[in-house]
Amino acid sequence: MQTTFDVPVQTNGETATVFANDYLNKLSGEKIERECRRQLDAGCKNLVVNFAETEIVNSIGVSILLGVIDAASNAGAKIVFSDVNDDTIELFEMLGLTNHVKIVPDSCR
Amino acid sequence: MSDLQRKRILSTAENLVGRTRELDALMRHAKGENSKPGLMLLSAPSAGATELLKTAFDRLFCEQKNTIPFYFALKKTDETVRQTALRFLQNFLQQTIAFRRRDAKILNLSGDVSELARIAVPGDGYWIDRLVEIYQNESETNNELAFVRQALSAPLRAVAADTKIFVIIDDLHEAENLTGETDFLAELQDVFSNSGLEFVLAGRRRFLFDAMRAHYEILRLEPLSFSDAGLLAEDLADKFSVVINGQTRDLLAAQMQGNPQFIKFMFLAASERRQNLDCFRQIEKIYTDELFGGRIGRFYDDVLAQIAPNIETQKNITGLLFDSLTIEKEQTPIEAWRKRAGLGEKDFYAAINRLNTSEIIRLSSNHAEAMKENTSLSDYIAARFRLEVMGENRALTVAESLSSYLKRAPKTIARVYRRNSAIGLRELLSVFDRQEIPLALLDYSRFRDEYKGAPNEELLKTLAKDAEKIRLPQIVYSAHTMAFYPPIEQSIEKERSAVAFGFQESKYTDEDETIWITAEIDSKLEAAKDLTEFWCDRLEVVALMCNFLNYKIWLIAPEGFSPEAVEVLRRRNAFGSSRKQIELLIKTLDAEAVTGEKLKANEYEIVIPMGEDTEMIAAQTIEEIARRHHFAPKAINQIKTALIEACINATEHSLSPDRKIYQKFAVENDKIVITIANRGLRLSDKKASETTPDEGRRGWGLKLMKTLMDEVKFEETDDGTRISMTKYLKTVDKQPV
Repeated sequence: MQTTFDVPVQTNGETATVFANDYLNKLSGEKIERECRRQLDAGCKNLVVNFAETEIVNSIGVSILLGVIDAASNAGAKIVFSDVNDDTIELFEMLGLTNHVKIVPDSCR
Repeated sequence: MSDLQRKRILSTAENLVGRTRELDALMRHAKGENSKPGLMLLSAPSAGATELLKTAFDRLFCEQKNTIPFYFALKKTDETVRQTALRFLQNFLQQTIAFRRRDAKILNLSGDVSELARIAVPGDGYWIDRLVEIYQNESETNNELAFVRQALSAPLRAVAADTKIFVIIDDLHEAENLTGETDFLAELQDVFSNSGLEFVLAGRRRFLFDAMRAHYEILRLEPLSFSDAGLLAEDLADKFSVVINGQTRDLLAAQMQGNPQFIKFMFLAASERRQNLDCFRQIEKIYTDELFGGRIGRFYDDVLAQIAPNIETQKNITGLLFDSLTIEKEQTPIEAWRKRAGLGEKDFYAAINRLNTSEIIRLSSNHAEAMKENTSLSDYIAARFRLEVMGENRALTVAESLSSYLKRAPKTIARVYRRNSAIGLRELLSVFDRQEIPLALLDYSRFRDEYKGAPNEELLKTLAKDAEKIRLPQIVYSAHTMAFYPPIEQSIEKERSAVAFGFQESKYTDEDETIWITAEIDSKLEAAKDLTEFWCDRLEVVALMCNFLNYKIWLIAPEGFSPEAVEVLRRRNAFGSSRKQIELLIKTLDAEAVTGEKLKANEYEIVIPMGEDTEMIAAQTIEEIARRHHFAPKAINQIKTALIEACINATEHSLSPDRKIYQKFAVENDKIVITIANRGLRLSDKKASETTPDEGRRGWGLKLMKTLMDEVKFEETDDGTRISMTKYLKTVDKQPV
């Protein structure tokens, strides 16, 4: 796993998995967005944002994720949010994110 | 606008703090909801009775049209009964006409009564004209009694004309000063007691109303409680733009002893000097100034001057009061006072009665003592004694006084905090009524062996199943131990020790009688043997000196008692309990209402700087708090998220000058209330463009708060925003054991 700008990322062919940290706020959100765009620019066709470590997402973080979704859509790539806990899923549902991205819940919790 | 913020006509206070119960009682009385038509308001000096009564008048004047309110206060400047009765009549006419015309400005007119009568509503013309006649013929009426009766009966004429009146007569203790052939008070009683009118007679509580009390509803007005005095201080701080903080608010409340007038004096003085009351030094400086020639000093000067106009007599009285305050033997025979006062017998007893009514002294079975517990009085007397009797240098007296007040301030506050943290033993004992309770609630060794460390929710259930029970006595009287044995005050605060008289089996025989002597003692760990023996000895001295034959000692120590201490208790047939046991006992006896919620401290405050990720500190704090109070994990996450959004909101939008977010978390039985406040721009201060969410993707914070929490309230303060969010406690997620 590479770590650039403090964002862990794992690539496998055309799939890139970017790992979010425990608190998705403006700062960490922008880092994730930068890494996702970098991966999309490098030709990634399947972008996964992994939320296994994420306990809290704030509204600014959500708005940045919407930007990531837009970027993936513009690049013609698929995007999935994986390992999302129930509380974060509830948040994404409240703010309408679930209409724009596939979410895979965290089955281990 | 709150219920108490109404149009002010006679009253001056914008908010009547701490008097809701009393005001409601007066309003109910005005509506005729009490069984007796007369209500007697017995108040401590400077407790705010006049403001209360005037507020009642204002409410009746403004909020209804059926009952004419009439407020009349006797004045220090009233000299004769006749003059007072004349003023009564004039006031009645003026207030009646003002009410009927729904025009409060008429109350400020200073015209002749016949001019007033011209603007009376026609329907009242007949009986008002008759009253005007009585008023105008006053000088021709030689019979004082007849005139006084006619004047005082003015409201009855209105009643006879089918008009409802509610009469409030204030400062009745001033009737002592009236000269004349007629007994004003007796006539007042006579006129109103048989009138069928609802009326209020108000005056100093020690004024002799004993003979009258049986015929009246009684309402007592005490000095403000500590918490209400604090609220008044906060209110006045806002009104006068004087900065205070939590500590200084508490010191003001404690030092002024709930005297609303003196608390106001402090803020008036601070405001005039453009100073704040934000440290003890400032408070004591202002207090010293107020005592030495300021409003507080002049207040007491006026009281003494009214009692004894002659300066030499005032000096003699000051000397008597000073000796009473400072020498060991507090109670002095009245005869000794008379010799030193330098007054004739009649004048002396008049003065001594006024000193008693004004609560400068306490009279009891031919003895008198100064009211030592009144701090400002003691300070005033000491100052005046030094300056006027001893002729000491003023600068020295002021400096030494200020210094002593400053040294005293932390002790004053400490006493309050210790008092407020007391269990309420007197109150707890008072609810003992032969209930059967688990012995483990009183016996620490049993509790420690079988229950210590068990979770709270299970404790009560398990205790209820405990086979070993004890039956509490039926307590018929309880009081602080100090009331029985004053020297105990040297060892323990009043509120932390109590004596209760009762009967074990309600047989009411000598053998059945039992007296419980209790004390809350201090110990960081389990109370040791020496400490326990010390306290058992102290309380046994109380029993000995008070001649208690069949007594039971009960000690309470925060963490209970060591095994050696338990043995001491067992030998002395005493009970020893921990604070935890008392909490459970209070719950078992359902005694929260009498002991108060002192044992809970479920309010938390933090201040965080605005900055990156600082909201997580708050989130982690609230997570810990919510977890302690058994909120479900899902709810905890929702609370955290909402709190984070509120913090981000404050950081992003407020342009706060101090870059701080003030947070309070208050946990009540079934909910948590989070308050987030910050200084800076309020929503209404922001330009429209600043509030429009950017492409609908920002501005989600408010939506999240409202969705995740059960209640959200936004409030604009003078200089910022306050958000209150509430989450109700629902089912607790528990892991199976």
